[in-house]
Amino acid sequence: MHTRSPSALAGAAARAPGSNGLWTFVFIDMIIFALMFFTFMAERLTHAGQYTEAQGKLNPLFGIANTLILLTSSWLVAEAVAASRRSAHALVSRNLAGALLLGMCFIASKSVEYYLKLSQGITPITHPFFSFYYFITAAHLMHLAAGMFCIAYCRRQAMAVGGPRHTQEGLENVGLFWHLVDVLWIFIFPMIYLIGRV
Amino acid sequence: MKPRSLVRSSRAAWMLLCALTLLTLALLENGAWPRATSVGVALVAMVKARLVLVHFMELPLALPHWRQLYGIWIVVATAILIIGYIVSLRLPALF
Repeated sequence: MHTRSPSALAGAAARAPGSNGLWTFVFIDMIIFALMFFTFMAERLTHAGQYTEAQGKLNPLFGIANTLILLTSSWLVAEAVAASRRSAHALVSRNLAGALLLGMCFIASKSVEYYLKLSQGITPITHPFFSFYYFITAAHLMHLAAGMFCIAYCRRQAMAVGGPRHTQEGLENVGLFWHLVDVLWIFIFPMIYLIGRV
Repeated sequence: MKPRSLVRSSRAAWMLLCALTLLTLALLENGAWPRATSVGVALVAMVKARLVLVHFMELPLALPHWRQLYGIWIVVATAILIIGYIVSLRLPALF
């Protein structure tokens, strides 16, 4: 039986979202984080018991909350991209505003978590596990901050007096990057907070 | 024009993603089978990542090589977590 490709099924008017360059950039970033994951799990092999003990000092509820925050934010950005295709620019602005608000919630949550850990005397040099914890989550947080900047720019463009100034491809590129942030956290959370937890 | 199926499905995907996240919480709270839970949460992560790639990133509309590479990445990332965990269970005596 002949099977049509997803692109064919989507119709002749469908095109790949975003630019090829952004897909390349996102994939390279994913490879870099995969190498971080590999390094963490490899280092964990040597002192699994100590890593588990250190992991016990983290509160997974922070991770659960951050996951729900990012998933919802990612959905709002996807909805904004869809609204832009329908030229529903007010909806684009509202969805991006919601995504930004949730991004700020993530930053606030992470800040509280960092503060609690530091106030307990748990720093990046306390144990190799916490070196990875601070480094990986901080790297992710920087990606999130960069994504928020881009989203804010797109929202400003969408609200421009005299008509929206953003390009469809530009918004899709920002969306792709934001979903990268989401996908990375989907793996960071279980790897650091959950796997091996007793 | 985005396919109608993908438009309608992004909300359903979000709901499923949230449900899977709460499932992770339930597995954590249960604590009955910690080893199976560790493998389970990695598999749940794989499913969630796939949902984000398909319904939010619109991977089905991407170029074929990106569809394959992004799909492979999810499997590799999941394998890193699961294999790394399982090996750590079997090698404590050596370290």
